Amino acid sequence: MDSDLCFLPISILADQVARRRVSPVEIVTALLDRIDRSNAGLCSYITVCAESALAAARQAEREIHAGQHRGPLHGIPIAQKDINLTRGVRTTAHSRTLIDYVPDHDATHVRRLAEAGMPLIGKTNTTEFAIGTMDIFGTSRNPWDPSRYTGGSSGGSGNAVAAGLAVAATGSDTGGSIRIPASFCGIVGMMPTYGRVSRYGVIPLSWSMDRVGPMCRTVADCAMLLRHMAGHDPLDPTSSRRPVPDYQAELGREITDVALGVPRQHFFEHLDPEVDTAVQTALRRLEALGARLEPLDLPRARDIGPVGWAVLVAEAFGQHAARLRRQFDQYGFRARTRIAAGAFITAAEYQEALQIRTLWTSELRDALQRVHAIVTPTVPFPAFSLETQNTVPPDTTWGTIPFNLSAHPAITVPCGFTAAGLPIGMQLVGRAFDEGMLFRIAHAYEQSVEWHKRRPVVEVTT
Amino acid sequence: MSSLTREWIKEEAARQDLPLTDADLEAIFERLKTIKAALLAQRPAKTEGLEPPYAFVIPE
Repeated sequence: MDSDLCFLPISILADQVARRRVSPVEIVTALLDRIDRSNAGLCSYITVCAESALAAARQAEREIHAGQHRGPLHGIPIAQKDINLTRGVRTTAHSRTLIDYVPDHDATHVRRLAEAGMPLIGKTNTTEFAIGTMDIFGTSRNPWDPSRYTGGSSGGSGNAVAAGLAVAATGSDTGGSIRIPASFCGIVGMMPTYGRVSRYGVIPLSWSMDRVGPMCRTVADCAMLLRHMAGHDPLDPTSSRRPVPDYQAELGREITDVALGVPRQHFFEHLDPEVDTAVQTALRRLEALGARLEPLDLPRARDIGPVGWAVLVAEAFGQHAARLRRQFDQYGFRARTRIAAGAFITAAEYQEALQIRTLWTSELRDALQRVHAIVTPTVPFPAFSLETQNTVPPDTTWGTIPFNLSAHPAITVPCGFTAAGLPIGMQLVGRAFDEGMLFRIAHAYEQSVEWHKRRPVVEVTT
Repeated sequence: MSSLTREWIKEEAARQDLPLTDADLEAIFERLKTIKAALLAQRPAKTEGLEPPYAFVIPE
């Protein structure tokens, strides 16, 4: 089967499928072939849905041949993070406590993508409950250098998309879990505004910080996927009733009227020199495209990360307390110690964290009245070794968790590579519910460079 | 912050039915040190009117 099929953008695949030049069965078969060759080495998937994906692809093919084309995602396979409930398909969250759990219903966004005609190709690797390690099914490896980590928690989605083991995937993001692996793996990851995508059926970690979003090789693919994932859901009382815009309409628009804020504090401090150079070069590129760069004061930024962690662990303990008491030994060390830390955050401290969150959110909202988006590096360093990940990893949420705390949307887009060939990501943070502007800016940048056209040179085989 | 000790964590863990190992306790202690220090350093001088926006969604 043609491996190139696995690297085509959704827009091109969709066109080929609609014209019946490519069959969804061919796409699924090509992906399964790559998964068969590389999954054991990359640890991308926890569960591969070969038979059901082929059956869904055959059904899509029949419907399209019968003139019942559902839209651009019809027949395009999707990989779901193994924290999203999938009816009839094991959902483990990479936890021993859920090792045989087969849900009887879909998460809302899973159902929406299925209704759009996307065959489920498999369930991607995640850190345990999106906060621990990957002890049972193996640690996801970075396809640009398999001795290095993908970043987490949506590491399987990140490396599957980057290595052509998936056309598109979903992730969840509580402190950076979409954006960090997307940055480390050289793909695009969008964390939408809180409330934009229903959290129903996504195994919760921190109810006020969790988001769900797309991870794809291009900005346009992310825009297309988000359009179908987003929208009000009565099953999630925190989901927004705002209509979902046509994000595709933003793509291709110029950014000559766009103002971009460049924070003076925190986000550009203590960077790996190659990350610094790549993001500075990207800023010059955005300027050359017509955007106006404006220095921005965000005095609370330096100390906001631990406040995010206070909220995260307190809410995570609230979610996990009963299971943790019952099955303490079934949790891995990192997951249980991070979650259990929440047991020792007092009510006064949690309230304090929420109050600081309100002040930080106001500071960002004021800043985003002056600019359309804020630009930062996504992670201050490139992907590190698996050994580091499994011993004492650095804080990867340094540039990402501030925006989980504030509810704003953020996208990461590849902006370069290190001399060793590791991807570097640039983060754009937007106004609430203005994902369209982020897609517009990120797409303008992406189309002016060639980073998204690179493929990993290392083919990991068993 | 001054009340954060390993002994307090141990006692509170027992009260909460959490069978922490020594290694668990040490990891939790280190994480809490950072979190609690940050909260203390940023404690708001005025707390009235700092309720989070409804459902944490920024007012539209």
